Amino acid sequence: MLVLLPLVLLVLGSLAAFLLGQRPGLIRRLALAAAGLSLLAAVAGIVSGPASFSVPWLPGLGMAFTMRLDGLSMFLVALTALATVAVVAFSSEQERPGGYYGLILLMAATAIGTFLSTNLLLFYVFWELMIIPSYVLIGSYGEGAASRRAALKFLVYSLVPSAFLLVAIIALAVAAQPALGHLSFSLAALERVHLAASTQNWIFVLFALSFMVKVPIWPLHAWMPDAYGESRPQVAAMLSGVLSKTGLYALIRFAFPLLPEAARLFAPALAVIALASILYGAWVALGHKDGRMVIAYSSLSHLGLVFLAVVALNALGLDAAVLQMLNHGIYAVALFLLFGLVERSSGTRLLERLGGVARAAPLFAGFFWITVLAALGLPGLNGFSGEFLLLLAVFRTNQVWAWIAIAAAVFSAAYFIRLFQLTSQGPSAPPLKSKLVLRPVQLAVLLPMVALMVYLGFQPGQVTSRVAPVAQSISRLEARAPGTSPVGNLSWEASRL
Amino acid sequence: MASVIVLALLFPALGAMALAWLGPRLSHRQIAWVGVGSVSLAFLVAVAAFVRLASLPAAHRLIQDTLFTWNQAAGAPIHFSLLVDPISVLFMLVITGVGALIHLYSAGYMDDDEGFSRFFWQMNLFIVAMLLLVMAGNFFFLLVGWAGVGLASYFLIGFWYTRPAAVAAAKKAFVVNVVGDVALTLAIFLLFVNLGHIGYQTVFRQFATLPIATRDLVAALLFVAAAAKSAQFPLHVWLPDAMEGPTPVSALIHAATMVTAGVYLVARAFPIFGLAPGVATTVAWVGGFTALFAATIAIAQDDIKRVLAYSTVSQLGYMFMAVGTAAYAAGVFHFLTHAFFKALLFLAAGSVIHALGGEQDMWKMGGLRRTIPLTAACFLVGTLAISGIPPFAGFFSKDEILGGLLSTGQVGLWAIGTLAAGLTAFYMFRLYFVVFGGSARAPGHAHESPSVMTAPLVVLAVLSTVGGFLVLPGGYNLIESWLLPALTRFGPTPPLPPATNWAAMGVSLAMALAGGALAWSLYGRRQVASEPLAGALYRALKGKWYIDELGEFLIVRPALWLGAQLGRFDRQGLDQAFNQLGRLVAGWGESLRPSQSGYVRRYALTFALGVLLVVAFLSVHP
Repeated sequence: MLVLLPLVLLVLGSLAAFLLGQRPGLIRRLALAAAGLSLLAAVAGIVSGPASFSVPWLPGLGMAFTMRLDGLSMFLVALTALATVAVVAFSSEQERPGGYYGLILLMAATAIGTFLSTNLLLFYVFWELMIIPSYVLIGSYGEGAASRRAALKFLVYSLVPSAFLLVAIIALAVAAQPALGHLSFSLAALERVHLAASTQNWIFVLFALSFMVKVPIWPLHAWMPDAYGESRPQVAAMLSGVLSKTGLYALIRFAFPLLPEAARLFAPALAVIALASILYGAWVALGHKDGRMVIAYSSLSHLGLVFLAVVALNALGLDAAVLQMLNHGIYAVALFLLFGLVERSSGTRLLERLGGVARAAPLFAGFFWITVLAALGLPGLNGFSGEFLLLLAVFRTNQVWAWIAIAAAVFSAAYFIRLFQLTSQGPSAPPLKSKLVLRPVQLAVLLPMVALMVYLGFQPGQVTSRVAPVAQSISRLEARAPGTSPVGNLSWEASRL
Repeated sequence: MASVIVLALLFPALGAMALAWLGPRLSHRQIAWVGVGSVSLAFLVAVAAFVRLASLPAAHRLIQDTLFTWNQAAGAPIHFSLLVDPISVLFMLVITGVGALIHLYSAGYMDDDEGFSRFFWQMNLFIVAMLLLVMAGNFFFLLVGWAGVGLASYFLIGFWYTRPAAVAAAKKAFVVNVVGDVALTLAIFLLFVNLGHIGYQTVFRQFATLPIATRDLVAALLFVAAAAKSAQFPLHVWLPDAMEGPTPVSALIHAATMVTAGVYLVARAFPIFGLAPGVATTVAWVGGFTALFAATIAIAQDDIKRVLAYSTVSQLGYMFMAVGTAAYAAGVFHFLTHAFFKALLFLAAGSVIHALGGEQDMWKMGGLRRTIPLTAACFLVGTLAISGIPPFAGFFSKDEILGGLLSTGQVGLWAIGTLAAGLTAFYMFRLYFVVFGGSARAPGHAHESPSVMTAPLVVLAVLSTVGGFLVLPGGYNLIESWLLPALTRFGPTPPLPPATNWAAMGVSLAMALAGGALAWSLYGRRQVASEPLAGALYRALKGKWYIDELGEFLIVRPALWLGAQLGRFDRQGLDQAFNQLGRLVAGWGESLRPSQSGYVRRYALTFALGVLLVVAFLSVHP
């Protein structure tokens, strides 16, 4: 039951928030409590080790409520809960608080659902549900018409790939049916089936496309600037910190083990796309006038590197990818939230109009600075741990990729230093519209987050050693020689359709 | 002993943490005690380590300690391990010894700055990172220290963070240094992937098994890292700008210690460079070129700190000439004497700036030999030492390098080094005569600095005077005999330096005297109001050969331009392309159902089609 606990707590919290409606203070505390308890449960899950949970549900459809907490999912579940705690602590929603906090919690709950589900249909249900709170939060809690447009764009970019995904999931189960003797969407069952290469290929393409839009990976990121830019910083933090990970996670959890030969076939092409993401994101971030967009495009670049290591198809890459998803989640959430404070107190996001915050709010600047250093990959902080191992993994598979990808480290340093300097340093502090103060609850959240950045900088093994067994088993599946005879040949049927 | 060396890191680390946390609540006196005290304690640890090493048999001079495992996901575990041997202990002694003196000096220099406690915790942080850099037992923690000193350097260059110039200089330094970090990271990857280990001992023992191309690549990457940190051409551009930091920072980080990290790296990785002779030669030539190139620029600078900054770049070039030609002992010796006399020169310059209320333009100074005589005397000692006038320290170490070059047949490098020696004497005496000679060029009264500042000056002046006697012409060479066991532990023994080359010594001394005499005739003989030199060449020198402009024009501008273009493309080109795609699908949809409009409905159609497709599949496979 510990497996389900983080999810259940968030759902309960969300329901309570929706029902209790109109009392901002109470609902905020309630949301904080739900997220905090969920985080405790998630940490307990990490400590107590891998576990799973399964109850039959619509067996005729091959559907079951199957959830697995292992090295691959436990840190992402904890990250989701942590991000939710931070986002709630940095929110002070006065109008329609029930909806706001309820949706934030629901967003987290559905993300946790996607991280835990090991039945493809169940995964798909959570994947779809996840879109709803995001859509409403972007559209209805943003600023005016632009945010509604951004929400619509997010919706289109979410739902169209979802349709592909559903087709791919069903096709996969159907193709595996002859070998299994029954229709099943269970990951454990499907992993045993070896599909014909041609079938694998087109299913893989649909999988990869849907997952890459979610991350996002270049050039499928066109929704990102709008969604991150027009929504609140808190929502952007959730999207970048948590939801982006669902795409990468799903690629590792489902696409690679189930479609190993296709993964191998497409890996070089995907690597090129990953490199494009890395450099493109870095380059756009380098000169962007809008501070929040610098953070957004840095995510495009940094998650591009995670994607590159994933398609490097070795155990270290998968292991480090999980580590860096956690790391990125921590610093991206902190960056969006902290910069959000600057946005609110100075009334602008344009870097050229900011400056001198360090003098007005030294404590804030200290936290912002450490977070920026973690993000730009300073050795001793968590971003570096992940970056180093990711690049090493890439280097093992293809040195040229690593040489290109590592160039982005220079960009990373340049744009993050620029973000920090233009925000915090410089000659004169422009008059702040409101005082930039960190409330005690925000401090209580930031301190452990910064402690985590340092801890994971020195002890990344706490994560990688727990991920390693899963990463190795997936990469073994990946390397599996095509022994069993292929079954199903959907490509032919597909063309006939 | 093993675990005692950790204390060298721990003392300044605790000092930094205590000052960062409690600093604003402490008095300046208390802050100075913690700041100076923690570095002094680290110095005592370094002395203890030195004594311990000296007491061991020559072949066993090695202290190792493994504290924890960083990670083992990559196969072989990466440990946090420390290694102190004859090479690193010399660096430790200089970092903590000169470091403690500069901390003491700072207690006076920074006394009226509101960021007093911030200054000291950041200086302590630098000491921690620098010690980690030289004490690391493998390339990974070398990288951690390497980036750590870069961070501390960034902090301290931009110490006065409300000044735009300081902020810009800090950013430039950081980004150029990250180029070095990236090169070092790639070298580590190559070692890890090919050898499976990144511990010094294992790497050095097995390095010969690698193919030649890989060896050269590793060495070349290490040299790029070294060149970025040690400001070698063309990666020198950040160091002169780094003078925006407070003067004690320039003395400690940008003269005595951090910028010598590249020299340390080449000396530390000598088995690697020994097996990559082509790269080693490149190291020496880049060093030689930088030595001459920076010396020419120093001639035409008017800011007292900028002259010293280019002189640092030039002297670092000498060190690379030495280590590039496998004269490791000579390179380390010059590091040692340079740490003394360059720290002395910077601190004396700081004393001048302090006395004149922040003035750095040498053409607004003059006659200071009478008003601040102690500072003037110390500066003169530094000038004599760097110019290579016997018996001051620089004479012996520079001669070690130049004599070695001539004796091993590197005539070209020797000629470059000797020419640069003449230029060095010229620009240093120019500085001395203009600042301290003649009479005042601007009104105002200079006053001598407090004893907390002059005491470190005197100590460094003494060291700059006697420091050269560690090596004397005629085979007496304490540095060599101290380092040799460490340098022969792995693989090929580096060639022994030849006997003293009296001819080289005579020529370089003559060059130094000629440079000094020329400076005297131009600037010392009579009072000159402003720079007497002029012309196109002079303007090129004053413009630093326009390397900064070139970099701005060739790298920075295009990068930012491309960034802006991509940003525009992202919001217009790419976005529109997808919208067009959407419209295409929509058009198709509308042809089926003309009443529909809007994204959501368009989606619903797609979705329905998808479901239809799936149902069709299912019907095919019952």
